[in-house]
Amino acid sequence: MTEWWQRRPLRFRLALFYAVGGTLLLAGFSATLYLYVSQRIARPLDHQLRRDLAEVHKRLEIMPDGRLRWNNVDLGRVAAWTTQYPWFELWDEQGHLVRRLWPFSESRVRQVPVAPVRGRETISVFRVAPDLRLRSLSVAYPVSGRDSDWTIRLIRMHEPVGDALGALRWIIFIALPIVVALLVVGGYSITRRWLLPLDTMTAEANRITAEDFSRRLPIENPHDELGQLASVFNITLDRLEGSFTALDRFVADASHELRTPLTTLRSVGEVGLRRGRSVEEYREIIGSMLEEAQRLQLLIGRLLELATAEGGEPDVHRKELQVDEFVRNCVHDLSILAEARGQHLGVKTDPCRVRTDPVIFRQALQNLIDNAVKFSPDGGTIQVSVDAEPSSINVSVTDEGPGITIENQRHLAKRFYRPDPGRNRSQGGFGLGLSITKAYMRVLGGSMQYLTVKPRGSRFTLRLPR
Amino acid sequence: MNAQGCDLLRFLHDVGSLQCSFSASFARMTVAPPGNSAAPRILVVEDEGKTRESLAEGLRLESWHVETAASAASAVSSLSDHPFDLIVLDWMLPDRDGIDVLRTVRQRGVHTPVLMLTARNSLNDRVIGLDSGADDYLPKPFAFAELLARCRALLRRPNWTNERLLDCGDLQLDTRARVAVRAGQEINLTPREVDVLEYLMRNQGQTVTREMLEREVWKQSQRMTSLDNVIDVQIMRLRRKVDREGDERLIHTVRGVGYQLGRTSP
Repeated sequence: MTEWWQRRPLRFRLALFYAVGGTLLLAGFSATLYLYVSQRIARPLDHQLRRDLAEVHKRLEIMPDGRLRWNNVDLGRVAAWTTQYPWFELWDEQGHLVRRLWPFSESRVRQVPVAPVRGRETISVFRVAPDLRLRSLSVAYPVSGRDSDWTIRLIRMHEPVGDALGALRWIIFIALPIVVALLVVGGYSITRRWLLPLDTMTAEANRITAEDFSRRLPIENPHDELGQLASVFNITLDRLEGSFTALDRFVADASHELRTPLTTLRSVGEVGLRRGRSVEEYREIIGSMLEEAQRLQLLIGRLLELATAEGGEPDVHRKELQVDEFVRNCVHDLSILAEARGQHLGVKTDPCRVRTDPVIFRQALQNLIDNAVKFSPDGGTIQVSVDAEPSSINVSVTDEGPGITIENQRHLAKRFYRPDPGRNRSQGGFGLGLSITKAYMRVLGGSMQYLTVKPRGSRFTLRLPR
Repeated sequence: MNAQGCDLLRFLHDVGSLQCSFSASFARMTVAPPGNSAAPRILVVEDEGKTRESLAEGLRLESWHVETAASAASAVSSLSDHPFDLIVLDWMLPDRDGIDVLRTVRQRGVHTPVLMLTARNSLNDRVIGLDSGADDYLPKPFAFAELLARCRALLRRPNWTNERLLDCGDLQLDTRARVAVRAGQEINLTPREVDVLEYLMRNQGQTVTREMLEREVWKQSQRMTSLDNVIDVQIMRLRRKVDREGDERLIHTVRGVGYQLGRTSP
């Protein structure tokens, strides 16, 4: 049953729920209304019956010998009972009918009413002819000189009340199915109408695949739940599309870059095998192939590093860092590169502390210093400085290189971008350093900025929030 | 990940194996040290044929007894046949995970040291590997020289000594006083140069890769391209001071692998 229920479409379930629920509610309401009205509508009649009882008490007299007198007139001689007097029956203590006084001739009454239950005040309704219903009030009736009470049943025609109740019944019987039908049809169509965006969303979502990520879910009403759902979904799709394009571009770039060392590897090997060589020559050839293989490995390492920094979540282990000392250390590690080219690598720092990941920050900074050494001319000066500001710590690396033209600045930090490709490849650069630095700075919550220095040179600044 | 991404990863893995085969072939061309009667027995478990054979041959050149297995099943059966002194185990095997093999072997009470090889290199994988009973862990692609160094360490046959005075030909290094002397003449070295020279001398006759220097001398946990350049320059300067004109050359470059200190060129 649960499974059957769950297999139905949502709008069917909603419509059915409304229909069943509405019917039950309406039926309950109608029944309550009917009972209440029927109680309420008969109240005047019951009141009249009680007035009749009072009149009987006043006028009727039961003689010790059992004869009845009405207004001091012996009832034994009265044949016809007029309608202006109360109608009643008297039943003795054994449950036998003593006298019935009403205006009907016996023949008109098909069914003689049964005796009332003794000792209890009851109101009952019974049908004595197809068109005639009577309402009666039975009460105990004390008779002077006897031990036990008789019972008196006062009677009135019920029809005026019955008419109104009958009409109410009819209204309920006709109106209920109509209302239920309206509920089912209306509920179904409104649910369908309101859930229609869901259908279009489903259809559209079905069309969105890894190949076609440009589609978005339609938003009919941005304020309701479905519209909100669609917009949240669309934001997720935007992000997904972004990472898919990034991945595609990455794969395209990477395979292009990987081909270069592979080509060298192959050609060196093939040429080496073209003729017999001495052991020395073979060592040379294999050595050169190994160098290329190492280059490949390094490139792959850099690519993976970039992939984790840009897309994934690198593990960040922050700790309190004495920035000036840390920067001095980094510079010291790389100073030998500058020395080899006769460059001066200077450090100027404010003492300050910051909470950050030393491994990641070191990678970011060393990429910049490495670049500066590469691009500065022999004998140039490279200045690394740390400025502590209230909200951030800025570490900048200034070189005396050729600087970067405005048009090239756009490509800065793009993967595999080298301003002068031939030159940098020979120096072991992949054009990934700035991308990695930028991505790492983002991971650390900071940023990287570039500034052209007059008259020549570049300044890269790493900003770490405090 | 999409299909292209998977292809890229597979490609990276292949390139890794390629380099392993390469460095091992290169090792073949070096001169084998003299034979050893109590040769350690080593089991190499690796599914990639070329890598397996070149690893085996490279290790045999150390005069070690090497057996190979291409699958988890054959590895387990070899292990139940003979005792081994060291297992070199690939993580990804065709029939079962290397980790699985490792657990099985450890459950049988075999305490042979295990060196895991894997193309994966996340910290988490490292933890899993070492947790399941591996003694060391080497991510692919690796330099054969590094594999050799780790194998030696696991076999408790370190190729370097703890001696205070190290020498090679007419070069001596006092590791405590941090003074190097060549042919009776003191060499003026910076502290970093002393560190590098000490590491090279303790590993003399063995090739030392840039990765090893980076980790052991520069104490960097993560690989950085810029440090490769630093190491090259540092070695160049050290060589200029140690091997002066007319001296016997002691510091050699092993092209595409790293550096070696010794009296014979590699």
